[in-house]
Amino acid sequence: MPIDKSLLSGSTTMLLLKLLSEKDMYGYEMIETLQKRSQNVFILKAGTLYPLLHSLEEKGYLTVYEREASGKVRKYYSITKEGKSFLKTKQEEWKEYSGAVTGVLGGAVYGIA
Amino acid sequence: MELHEYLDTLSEQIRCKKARPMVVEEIENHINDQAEAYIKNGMEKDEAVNRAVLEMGDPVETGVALDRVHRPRMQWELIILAALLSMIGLIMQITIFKTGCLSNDTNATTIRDSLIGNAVLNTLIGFAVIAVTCAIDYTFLGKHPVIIWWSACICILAYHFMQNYLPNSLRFTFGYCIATLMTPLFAAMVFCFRGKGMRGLLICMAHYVAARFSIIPSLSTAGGIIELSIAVLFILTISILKGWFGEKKVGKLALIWTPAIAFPGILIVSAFHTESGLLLREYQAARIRSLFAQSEESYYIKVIREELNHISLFGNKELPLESLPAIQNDYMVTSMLMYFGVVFTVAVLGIVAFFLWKAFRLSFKQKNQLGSVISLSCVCLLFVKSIFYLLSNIAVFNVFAQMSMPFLSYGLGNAVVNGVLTGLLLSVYRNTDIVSEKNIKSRYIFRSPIQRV
Repeated sequence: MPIDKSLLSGSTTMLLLKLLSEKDMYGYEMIETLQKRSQNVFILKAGTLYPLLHSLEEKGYLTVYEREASGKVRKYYSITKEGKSFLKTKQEEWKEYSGAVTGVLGGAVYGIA
Repeated sequence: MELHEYLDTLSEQIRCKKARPMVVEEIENHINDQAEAYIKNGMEKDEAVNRAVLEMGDPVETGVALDRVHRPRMQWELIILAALLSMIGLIMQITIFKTGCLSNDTNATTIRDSLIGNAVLNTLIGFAVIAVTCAIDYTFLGKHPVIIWWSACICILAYHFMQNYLPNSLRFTFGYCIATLMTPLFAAMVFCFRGKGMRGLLICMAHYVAARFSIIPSLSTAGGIIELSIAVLFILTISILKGWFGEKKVGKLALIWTPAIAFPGILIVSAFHTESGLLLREYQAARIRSLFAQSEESYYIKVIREELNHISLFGNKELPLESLPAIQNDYMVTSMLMYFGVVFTVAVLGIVAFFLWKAFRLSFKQKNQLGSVISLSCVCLLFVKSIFYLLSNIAVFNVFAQMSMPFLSYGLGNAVVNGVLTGLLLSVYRNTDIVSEKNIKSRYIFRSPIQRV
């Protein structure tokens, strides 16, 4: 089920940083993992992913290195210390936000993301 | 849309042409991965590629977003600080020349005016050099570092044979410039031999030692050579600590620090025991002795101490014109302390320190490794120059040979050297999001993977 885009855009950074905080990945791998883990809810376009990754790298939240994997040289992204602390604040913001939404809607609908 | 059409449209949106290849390659890889996945699911090859391209979305939108990231960036803060310091230096130099010429004699005023003209010209040349160096793509240094290093050595030889035809002032300036500018070249060489373990380190050291003890001494500029040696030591230390030459860092540090301490140590000891040694000529021994306050040769240390007894917070509007030689070259800080006072001088030195700190942080955090090592070597040189100059000016030790204070002191050589170093710093920063390590291919690297910074 494709979901409203505006709901996704603000949190994409958070989701990507979360994935990278678990292990280093290359772009295609991120899209695949994100899709699998969200049970096909988050289908991220590559056209959105790369500009986002590059701007996160520019801000110093990610670093890039190249590694050969199954005969191809790939660009791997890795989260930095700054990236980790940025992720932490983003996560806290998200918890507060989703808690507030749940409060308004009523009922205990946890586990959106 | 075909694959190449998509990639062409995307890359056209990125205005900085140098940045295009590295971006396009990554996107192309992604499309190929996606197409392969479709083929695995039973699609035909052409259909799979077309589908993968379609999945990418609008190439213009993506290209524009990437253009925002990959463009040259000027480090305006550093430029403003450099301009501010140069202005302060110029004001100080003009003050010295004006105070130094009290008579209204036409000869004296002509000399004064020509000196002031030179000071203004030097400052302008300094800025022109910064602009030109900043515009150059520094990565060429990393492409053939050994060839560049030895070409520079050939230039030194050429200079050595031609120096007698040069006017005296230019002779020292040239030698000093060349000696200092060997530093970034060495940094580029270290970059290219990284990842080769002990062998890489030994090759770098061999190139340096071979040049240092054969050709470089013919520059006859003790100051320049000492600055170069310290910077080389610094570059090697940083790169060993970063793990560029593999593990077992302690042993490698010992390998470079032992001769670095032993060699000057032996020289200093032999300078105080000239009767036994043939290592140094008498004038060289005297120079080394004069560095230390206890020796009888340190005349100027005593003079400066005497002068510094009279400084005040806001200055006495007096200059040590009678007691110290060439103050516009060698004693700018002492002069500033006397003329403008402690508050002003500390503020100016604070700006210098802030400039160096800012440049150091930018260089250290630079994600491009070649850029990082080259800009670190420039910061190191600027720092060494400033600290030597400062210490000699507050009478901790004597001025030896040619010395200069970045941005502040008078002289064409100083302006050019500082211009190149600052320009290189700016060039590295400017190209941060443009050049990729992979484009700095060198025949000395054999598919070495790019390591994490």
